[in-house]
Amino acid sequence: MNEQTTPEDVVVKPPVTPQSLVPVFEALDSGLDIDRLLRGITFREAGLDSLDIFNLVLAVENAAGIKIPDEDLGQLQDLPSLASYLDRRLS
Amino acid sequence: MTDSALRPCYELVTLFKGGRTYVHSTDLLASLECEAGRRLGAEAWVGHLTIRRQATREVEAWFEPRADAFGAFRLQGPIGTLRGWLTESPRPITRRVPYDEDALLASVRFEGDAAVLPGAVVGFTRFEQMVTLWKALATRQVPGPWTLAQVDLDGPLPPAGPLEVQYPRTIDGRLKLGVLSRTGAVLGTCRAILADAIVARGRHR
Repeated sequence: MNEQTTPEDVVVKPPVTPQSLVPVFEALDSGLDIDRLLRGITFREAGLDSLDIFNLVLAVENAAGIKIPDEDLGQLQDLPSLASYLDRRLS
Repeated sequence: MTDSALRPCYELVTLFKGGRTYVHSTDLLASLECEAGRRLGAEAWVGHLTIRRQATREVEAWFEPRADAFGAFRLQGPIGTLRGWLTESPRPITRRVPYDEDALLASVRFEGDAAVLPGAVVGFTRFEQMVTLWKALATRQVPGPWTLAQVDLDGPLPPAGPLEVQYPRTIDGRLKLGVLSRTGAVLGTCRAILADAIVARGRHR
């Protein structure tokens, strides 16, 4: 029995880098290999399913204080592209 | 605690409801709530349930990670939390119980962007009422085979009184974040996904 950081506890501020998004993934407790994500493997290649993607989008929106439009989702295929996108939106 | 409460695995759901050919989330929630009470006390509840694909055989709950898990849960109570994983056993489900969801749906009201049950509906558990509300509203907004992939509850469901659900966030037309409330107080959330949108994966959670 233990307590852990939840996605609601994480805050993302610029400059956003792939490394700065690691706490978001850790808080999701998804069991993903974050080192592989940092090397640029796509979310799908890493094994994320629709529920994972859903939770990731919600966690990132909450942490960054923004809403990601549906038309932008296609750009967010991996951790580096997600970091670049958030950096543009928040800067 | 009893000896059975200390087992790492126990049989969870062994029946189908109505005409369904898969294990219903309401039965998982009800069975897990019983286990929460046994392990964490009478005030315990199911704080989290994830279902990544439908189960069609008898379900087992484990309190240790399982590579073949199709779902996961967290039991919460005054003395702490317990994480668990759901697997299918090799045993087929052979029992079936009657279930008339239409009788429950007849009590659902749609008010603006919300679905409401004015009060508890006799003959249905609160889990059944909650899940029916969420599915009814999702289907009304976007027709299709919606499934609840994740449920998070802030506490035990109140046994009486109104229930209201809304979907404040929809992503890509097929992922919905739902909120359950009672007279303005949030009770929990859900992630509803069009059933053909979720892709199960092989690693454990």
